[in-house]
Amino acid sequence: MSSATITVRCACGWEKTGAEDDVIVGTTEHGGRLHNMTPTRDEVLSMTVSSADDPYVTSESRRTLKRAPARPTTRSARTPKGS
Amino acid sequence: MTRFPDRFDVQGPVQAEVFVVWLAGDHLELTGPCGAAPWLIELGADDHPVDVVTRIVSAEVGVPLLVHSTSWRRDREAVILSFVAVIDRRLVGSMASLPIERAALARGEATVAPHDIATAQVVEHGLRHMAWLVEDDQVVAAILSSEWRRALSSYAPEPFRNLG
Repeated sequence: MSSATITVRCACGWEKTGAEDDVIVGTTEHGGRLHNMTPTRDEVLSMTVSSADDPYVTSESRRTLKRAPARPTTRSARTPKGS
Repeated sequence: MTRFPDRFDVQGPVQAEVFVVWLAGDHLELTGPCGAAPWLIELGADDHPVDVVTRIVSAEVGVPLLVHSTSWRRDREAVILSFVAVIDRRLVGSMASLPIERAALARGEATVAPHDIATAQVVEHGLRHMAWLVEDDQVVAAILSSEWRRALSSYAPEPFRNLG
């Protein structure tokens, strides 16, 4: 168990900041209740953001020093056939 | 393990996109627990889409008047099933809500789907679908009020279709 403060943001705008265990519980509850999702603890931890100002710095990208691209949500592009 | 590269987001090969709509006086508004925006719901291999959407809308918002799938498209590396969930105004509560603006439909070719589809176009088609149902489906006609019919009257009736 860690006492570090972490933040997880959902694509829908919901977010939770707090102790690791609290965020995991909150995110799991949010995912199940609103989105029919059942994320594992590791999956939740893989989505933590390091700063309230930068939603695209994840625990994974911190390790690799790369930024993950944002996924568009308001406009969609059709997936080309064969891709 | 499913990867979430940048944030917590709905995954999976089939996803539901719910538009929670209500009649605000003389016009229609979009609302929902995630704001006045599409509400994404993950669908498992054993899930019946309508059952899941109805269950989750009922639990989070309240029992809807209608839940109807209005279109599908390929997006987000998944098949997206769009739903219109009609709710009574008393269920809106503190949820954010915005008037639904009209949009030109996304049009494809004879055998090719539209290349670019905006959320507003999905809503537009969904309400055209409701305009069709209120004239064609006895259950929908019985549920939607005369005020709803008036609000839908400017939408050209159109059945379910593939948007992309």
